[in-house]
Order: sequence, then structure tokens, then C-alpha cells
Amino acid sequence: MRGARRHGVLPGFGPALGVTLLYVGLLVLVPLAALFVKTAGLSPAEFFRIVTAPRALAAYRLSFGAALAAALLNAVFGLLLAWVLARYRFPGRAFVDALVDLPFALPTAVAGLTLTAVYSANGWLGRFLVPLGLKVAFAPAGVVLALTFVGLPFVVRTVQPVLEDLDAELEEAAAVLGASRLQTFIRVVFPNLLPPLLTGFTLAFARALGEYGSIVFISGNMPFRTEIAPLLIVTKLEQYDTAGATAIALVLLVTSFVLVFTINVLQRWTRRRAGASTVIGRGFRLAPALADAPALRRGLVAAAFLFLALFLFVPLAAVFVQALAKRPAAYLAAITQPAALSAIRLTLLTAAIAVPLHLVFGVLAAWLIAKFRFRGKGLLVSLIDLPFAVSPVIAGLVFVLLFGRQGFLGPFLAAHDWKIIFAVPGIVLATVFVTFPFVAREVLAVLEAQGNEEEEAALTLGAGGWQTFFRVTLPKARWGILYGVVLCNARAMGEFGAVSVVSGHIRGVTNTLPLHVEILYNEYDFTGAFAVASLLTFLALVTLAARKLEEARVRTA
Amino acid sequence: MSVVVTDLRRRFTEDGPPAVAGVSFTAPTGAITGILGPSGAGKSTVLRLIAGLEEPDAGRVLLHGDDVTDMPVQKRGVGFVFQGYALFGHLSVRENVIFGLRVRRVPRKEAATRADELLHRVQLDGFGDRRPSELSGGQRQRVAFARALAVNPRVLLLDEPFGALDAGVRLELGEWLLRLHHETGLTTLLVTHDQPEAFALAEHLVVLLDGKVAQAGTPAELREHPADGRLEAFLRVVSRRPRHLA
Repeated sequence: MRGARRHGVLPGFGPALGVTLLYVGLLVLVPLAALFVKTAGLSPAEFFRIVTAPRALAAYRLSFGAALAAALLNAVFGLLLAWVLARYRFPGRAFVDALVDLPFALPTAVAGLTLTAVYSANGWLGRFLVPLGLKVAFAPAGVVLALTFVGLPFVVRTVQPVLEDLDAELEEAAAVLGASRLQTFIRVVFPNLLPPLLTGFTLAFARALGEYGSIVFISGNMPFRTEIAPLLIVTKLEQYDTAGATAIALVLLVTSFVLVFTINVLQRWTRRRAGASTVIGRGFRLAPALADAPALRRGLVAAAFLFLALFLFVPLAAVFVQALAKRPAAYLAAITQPAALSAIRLTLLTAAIAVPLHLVFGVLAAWLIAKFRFRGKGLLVSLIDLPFAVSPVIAGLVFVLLFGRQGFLGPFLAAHDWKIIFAVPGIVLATVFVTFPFVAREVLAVLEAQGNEEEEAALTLGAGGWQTFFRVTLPKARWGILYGVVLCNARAMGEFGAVSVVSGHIRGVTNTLPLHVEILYNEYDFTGAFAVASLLTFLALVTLAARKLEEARVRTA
Repeated sequence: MSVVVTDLRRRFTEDGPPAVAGVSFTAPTGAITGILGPSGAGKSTVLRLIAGLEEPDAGRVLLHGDDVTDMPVQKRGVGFVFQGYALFGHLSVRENVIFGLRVRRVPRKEAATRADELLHRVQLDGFGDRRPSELSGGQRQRVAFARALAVNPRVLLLDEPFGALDAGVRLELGEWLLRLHHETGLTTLLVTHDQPEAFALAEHLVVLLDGKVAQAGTPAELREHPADGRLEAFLRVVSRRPRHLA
């Protein structure tokens, strides 16, 4: 009991910490350590030659440049979207609010497929842009487009809650003191939005830097021109240049470490700033005297809709239109052919393993972090977040380094005739790695928002540790858990890059749905590709509906 | 020369009772007028209507003879102290105080000098470079006063200014407010639900019940001749409580 008292009043600290450390260690730390060990096998001169080769430098330039451009675009339009969603009521607001999360839930392969279709020379939008000299698909602009898509929700979802919680009295105080609306925005509102804006920007940048699935479709993958760094890793791996792939991966991985650290610092800053500005948070309800002029309001809403139309609505609609472009019979045939059915089975199996695993360990980790004080907590949170910032390609690579034929455990596995890489276990492992943070993160947010008072009350009434957990904590957090599970499931079923590296693409054996989309696309079977993509898109829309459900439940609770 | 409101009306919901249902009173120049009433009586709404933070459905607001009903809040020249202070957390205490001067394009140097005068007046010398989050509740309250006074307002509007503070600090700040008022002579409206506070600080009282003026007059008049039984019941609490402020 002494240990429990030191870390908080609730029991169960020791076992929770032990299990969580084991889980994080085995599934995150050991695989990533393999990357460092492998690179250590290179001499410094060799390492330096590989990571500064002209083709590598060109890939970094595109990756960093396009990720930066996309993150900047998202900062500007994310701020606009957050403002419009937080401050105005207009027809379709709930719909827009739900759809902003689509890039979280939509498999990146589907995003790449549909963006390519919409922006290619004969696509819905491409046919107007290409004659103007704006080549998007198969050009660097396409890379920026796809990276903007995958990073779209971050700024909106970091800025919007801060804007909604900003005390109306702040703006009223500025107005009473004579500030115009513009002065109020620049001097009072914007400084409060800066920390979340930077957090969202960094998240979008980190996500864009590692993105692989959508880029494979839209960029054309031309060395020196449209080849991003994660793609270069895959290319080297396919040429059996494991050392070269590892060296480039290390450069990206170290960048991810730095970005995750930056994000955690920025989030702490956001929390501090939010706590200091007011005494009584009143939620947002502005006096009519301070409402924005109708013309401004309409203009901002229109700009937000235009941005979403170009990046979200049109590509989303294209999936279903293209899938059903031929007769329904063709659609059915595409999703019931043996290779497709096998891909569906494998995808379901992978999710059926990864999701329950994360449900148990994610909830436990969230409980540990939310309810107890201990040293190294910030580091643990960063480690749980890390798989989110690591490029999926690297997630696949580390398992190849561990279990591949040339890997650390390769000889051992070969001796026992066990296959992990280019087989189902590898796909499951890579998926587990990539989906690591989702349940823990969602549940942690819910638990932290609720505080400890109810648990303490349960303890005073005589409940033990497990009783408190099952009777108080779990019921309180159930909607957060549900959403974490659904989001984790969407990512598990939609993962492309990590699975692509370890799968070997054996049709009917190691092909998941997203990989099947790519194969069909490469075979110019567009109807088939879009038919399979529409299944995954449907899954994404169900995920978004679950989020709305969770929000509604939380609000009425 | 005063604050005059005539037949102010404001309704927030379609079906429920109006928050403010025809309020008229005059707050004399240079005095502290207490607006008193139980919670939900419409006190804060009346104050916000006078400031221009809400638009009335009907009625007029006159500040020192000028009809300001159609004037935006920025132009009315009122000083408003919010219930939760609403200090800008990202700015220092000094920057908070001179905010109103800076948006009027008063040069930084001149504004900073004025800020130091005001911080001296509210007994916060040397606190200019602190952040609001580093101050106690009572200190934040005085920063809020200094910020409101910095723009030389025509009237001072106080919305439950001591609501978030504990009793000891309330007592001290009440005495401080009387001294400050003595020095500035500003026409002041004080919204409170605390009868002893209102009776101790205000020279003139307006009691609101259910969005209407139940009675207005000096504290003595209200104590001796309450208008009806309901008002008497509301005010009776006063005599039973120790009048530590009186």
C-alpha cells in the first residue's frame, strides 16, 4: 500500500505499470531499437555517403518541402475551418464537422486513388486545371495535395476546442475597451490560438513527412522528381539494399522523435495558456453586439466550403461514382472475385487480432497515465504516441530487420520453418505497431477530463481497485473507449505502407484490402479498384458516425 | 447628468419569461448605485444592456444625457469589470492595463506611464511585468479595475466584482472601492446579489425581482419603507446578518 499511496490513492499501480512497460517495450521499443542496431553496422563514412547521395537529397527535399507546404496550407485553412465551425451556425455545419475527420479514418490508399482520379488530366477537376498548365497528378503538386488531405484534420481539431472554450468575456472586455473586431482578433483571440495552431501544424507536418500510401498513387514515383523519402526506403528494400533503406529510415525516424517531443512541449504550453486566461470558463456565447458582419460570415463559410470541396467532398464523391460507373453487376463481381474475398478475410483477421489487443492494453495504459503520478510519465506518453509519427514504411522495415531472412531472428525462424515476413504474422505485427496509440489516446483524454473524485468516492464506499475500475472508470469512459476502438479498427483495416513492406503482395495469401486496391489500380482495373475502395470508404464513414455518436452521448451525459 | 434607462426589455428565449421586462431607473451622477436582487432577476443583463454587450428588444439607455442605445459598445466609453475578471492571460499586467489605450493608438511610452500611475492607485506597484496567472484573486480583481479605469470611462459598471473572492478579501476590497470612488467620483453601477455589500457600498439602490424594478431609493428608505411583503422578505435577510461592512 505504500507504493499506492505515493503514486495516488487508487490501487493497482504496480501491475498496471509492469504490463504497460512490457507492452510498449516489446511492440515499440524493441522494433525501433533494431533500426539503430542495424545502422550501427555501417561505418560512419558509409552511412554519410548513403544519406547524402544526390537521389536521397532530392527525396528529402521533396518530402520536407511538400510536407511543409501542406502543413502551411492546413494551418491557414484549418484555422478558417475551426473558426467557422466554432463560431457560426449554417446549414450543413454538423455534416462538415463530421467529415473533417475523414482523412483520419479513410485508408490512405483510397485517398491516393481518388485524388489521382479527380486531378488527373481527364479527371473531374484535372481537366480544368491541366489546360491552365496546372499539372497536379504525377507532379510535385500532387504530393502537396495528398499530404494536405492526410493532414487536414489536425489544425482544425487542435484549434477548434480552444476557440470554443475561449471565454466570451475576453472579447467583450476588448470591445468595451474600444478595440475593433479586427483588433480584437489580432490582439486577443489569435494569441490564444497560437499554441494549438503550432501543435496542429507540427502534427500535420509529422504525419505528412511519413505518408506513403496516398503518394504511391498520385506522385508517379519518378526518382529526383516525385520520389519521397519513404518511397526511396521501399525502393532500396525491394532491391535488397537493406543497409541503404535502414540509413534513410534512421534520418526520418530521428526527425520523428524530434517532432513528437516538440508536439508534447507544445501541448503542455496549450494547456497552461488555456488555464491562465480566465477564472470562470463560460463556454462560448457572444453578445449580438459582437457577432461578425453577415458579409464576412458568408465569405468565410464560402471559403471553407470551397477548400473542403476541392480537398474532401469531390474526392469522396468520386469514390462512389467511379465504383458504380459501370453496371451494379460489375461492382458486385469486383468485390466477390476470389482475390477480393481473400483480401477481405485477411483484413478482418488482422483487425480481429490488433483491435482487442489494443482495447485491453490501451485502456490499461490510459488508466495508468490518468490515475497515477510517477516519474517518466511524459516519456511513456511520448513512446505511446511515437508509432503515430513514425512513417508506416519504417514500421514495416523494423519488422523486416527483426524477422526477415537477413534479420536478427531470421536464421532462428528459418531453422524452425516459421514464416513471419511475407506472411500473415508480419502483417498483424506491422498493423499492431501502426495502430498502437489510438485506444490509449482516446481513453486517456476521457479519463483526464473526468478527474478522480468519483473513483475516490467509490473507495470511501468500500469498493476495491478492480470494482472501482469496472464499476466507475469503465462506465464513465465507455464512449471514449468505443470511439478509440472504432478508430483503431479503421486504421487497422486501412493500413497500407507498413503492411505493404512486410506482405510480399502474394495475391490470395498476403493481400489486404488496401493492397488489393493498389494491385487492381496497377492493372488498370479502375472499376475494380474503386469498388474495393468504396468498401473501405464505407468503413471510414461508419467510423465518423461512431464519433458523432460518442460526442452526442458525452454531451447528454 | 447620470445613467438613465427607460423601459428596457430583453428576452432570450421564445417561450420563457423575459430576462428584463421593462426596467426604468436613474443612477445619479457621481454616486455608487447598487443593482440588487436574487440570481435570475436580470441584474447582469441590465448592466450588459447599459454597456452595449447586449442589444435591448426595447427601451433606451442614456449616459450623461446622450442616448447611446444605438451606439456600439466600443464607442460608449464605459468601464466594465467582469465577474471572472477576463484578464488577458497572454499579456502582462501592464499590457492588460494599457490595452484600451493601445487600441486607441496612444504611444506605448505614454501608455506605460499611465499604467504605472494606475497600478500605483490600485496598490500593485511593481506588478506590471507579472502575468495574471501569477496573481491572487484580489490582485487580479484590482488589475481588472485598473484596466477599466485606464480609458477614463464615463461610467464604471461592476458585475459582481467581488463574487469570486472569499469574505476577508471582499471586506478589504469593499473599503478599497469606497476610497477609490471617493478619489475618482465616477458614476458607478454595482451589480450584486449580496445585500450587506449593497447596503454598505451604495448610496442609491435599485432592487430587481423577476426582471422588473421592485423598488428604488436610498438604503435608508428601503430599510424603513419596503414597497411590499415580497421585498420586505428579500431585504429582511439584511437585518439578520451581521453588517460587517456597514
